[in-house]
Amino acid sequence: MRRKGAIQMSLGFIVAVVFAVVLLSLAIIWIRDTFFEVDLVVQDLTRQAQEELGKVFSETTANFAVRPSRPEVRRGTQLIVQAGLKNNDPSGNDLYFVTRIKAADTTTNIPVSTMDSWITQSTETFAGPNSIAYRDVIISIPTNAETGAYMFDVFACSSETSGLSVLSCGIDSPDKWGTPQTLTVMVKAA
Amino acid sequence: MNVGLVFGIIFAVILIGFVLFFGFNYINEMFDINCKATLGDQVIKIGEMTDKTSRLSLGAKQEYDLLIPPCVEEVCFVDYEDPSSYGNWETNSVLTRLITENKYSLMIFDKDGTFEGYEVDHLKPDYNFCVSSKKTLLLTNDGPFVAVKPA
Repeated sequence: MRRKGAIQMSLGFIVAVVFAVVLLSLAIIWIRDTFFEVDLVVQDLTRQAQEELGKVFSETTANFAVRPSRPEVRRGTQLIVQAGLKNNDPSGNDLYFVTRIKAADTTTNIPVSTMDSWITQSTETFAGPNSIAYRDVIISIPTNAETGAYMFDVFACSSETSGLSVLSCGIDSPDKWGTPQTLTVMVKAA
Repeated sequence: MNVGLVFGIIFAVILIGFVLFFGFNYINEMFDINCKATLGDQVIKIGEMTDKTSRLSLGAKQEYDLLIPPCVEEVCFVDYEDPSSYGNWETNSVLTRLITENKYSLMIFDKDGTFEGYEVDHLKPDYNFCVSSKKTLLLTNDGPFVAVKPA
């Protein structure tokens, strides 16, 4: 009888240990997901985007493109898409480029001026003859953004000399490069 | 009551609670994936049916039963050359620009407020319209285009 009792104690102990391990694992996962989640999830689509841009420039006559042009993100995401600038200047000059992002429209009630504050403009870049320069287009979607579509215009300007101003680059700029691109960001609930 | 049994029941309840709590999102995602798959299948079939109709003789008609999965609010057929509001189709500046720039003729609006546009070769509705539940569509070979309208 004593021996049988001892076996029952052991089984109970094993069951308790198994339950404890399972519960501890679940608790650790929950704590990791809840407390160690960063505020802005960086969605970096750089590599895939550059591959797509390379394809666009090799298959078409375009010298400016943005990929992906219709990204889908969750609120609280810092979106990084790529602007590609192909220096196909017929005279074969080295060129400096800037890209400018400008909020255009939205299906939500958020004002365009607010959307402008989500944008991080990039700095000047350089491309030699027949080479491609890439620039990040960075838009930080806040956690309180409404779900819906947000449309941005992306312009590029070029110059043979350094010192281009991002803010003077636009649809009417004399040094405009390529066709202005539309970037439509579809924001989903977090 | 046996103390071991009570101990087991309490732990089982806690364990079930944890599984349901953590598994809820995964179960939801599973349903969502199923819904997206159904939707993708419908888009492919619409494209195939349009292509098939475009190869038939002028005036040839075909019917297609459009299924709307539960995650979708409505499916809209729009003329990209004139995406203006008509009937139950309501547009806005963003939609109009997207449709005309990308030549979308099929717009799908999800229940979460997002939407997706599709370019379907040859497809052009008689008039812009939306469908929110299972509907039979009539596709007609209209020469350069395949006209679509509710049957």
